[in-house]
Amino acid sequence: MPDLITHVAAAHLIRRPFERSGRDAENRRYRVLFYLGTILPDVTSRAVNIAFPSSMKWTLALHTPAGALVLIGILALLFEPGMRKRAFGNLTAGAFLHFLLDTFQTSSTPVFFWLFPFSWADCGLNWVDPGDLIPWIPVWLAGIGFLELVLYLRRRRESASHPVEKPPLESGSGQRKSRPA
Amino acid sequence: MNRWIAVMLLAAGLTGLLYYGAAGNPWVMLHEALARPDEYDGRVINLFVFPKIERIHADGFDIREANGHPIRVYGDPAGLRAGEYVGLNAVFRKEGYLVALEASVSERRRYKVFLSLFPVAVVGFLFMRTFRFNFRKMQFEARDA
Repeated sequence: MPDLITHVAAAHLIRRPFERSGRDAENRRYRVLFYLGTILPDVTSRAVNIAFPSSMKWTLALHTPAGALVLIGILALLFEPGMRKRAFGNLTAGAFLHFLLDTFQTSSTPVFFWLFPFSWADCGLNWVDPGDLIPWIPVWLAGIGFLELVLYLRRRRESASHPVEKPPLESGSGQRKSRPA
Repeated sequence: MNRWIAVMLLAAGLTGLLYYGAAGNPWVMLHEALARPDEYDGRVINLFVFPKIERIHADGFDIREANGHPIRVYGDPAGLRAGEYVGLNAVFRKEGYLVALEASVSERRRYKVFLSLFPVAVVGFLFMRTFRFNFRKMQFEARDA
């Protein structure tokens, strides 16, 4: 696996530019689920392996698309009814981004069972040593900073060109009107 | 379908996948080979539990897995360093040693694990700040809804 900073940075850089403006609360909500999806395969497998080293074979399925989909199905059902479909979609998209990035990395251990449970073929491409990505972390973080700056400037320009019109002040403003009983 | 029936069906499916992942996979682990050496003599082992190099010898090196299994590995130790995690493919011999087919230091592995703690903490914090668990309805709800 690449480190999780690389995973989350990739998730942020891919998702943020496509978020619809004017829906801040909604974007924030599902963005968190997208991030959660992107760390989920490692949290449920590698983190468990570090804590319980003999669990390695038992957690193999959780680092596969099939296992992650079933787990995400369970997690999505733990959200309020109106959110379940989008929770499932965002968690799944995040998890599949994780698997996509993992596919490019080298590993002496067979861990990329993308066709599980139909095949035990290791689908890793062995292109990038995950250790080689660590010096790039500052670049990912700078990229996030740059992206946020661009989005901030764009928001400011949009709000300047479409100012929110305030209702005109009524005469005698400052005095609270009493509500009819 | 009732939500809890769906959760139970999915949980049963996940349990089946976990069991098949553990019992049906073709990979041999070191502790399995050490427990039944005659059966696993000559088999390739490449699913190690975070093996770390303990000592370098002229004709090989000693490793210890995270779950405590030490073993002697014969092979070229060039480029290996004691105290580092190692990526290893090796043939098991019933006499209780391994013959390395491929061994290389897993560069920066310890940093990778350490650095990965931060995003877990950040995402966990963001999740808890964005959602709350309603114990009465047994579901996560958005805090800003």
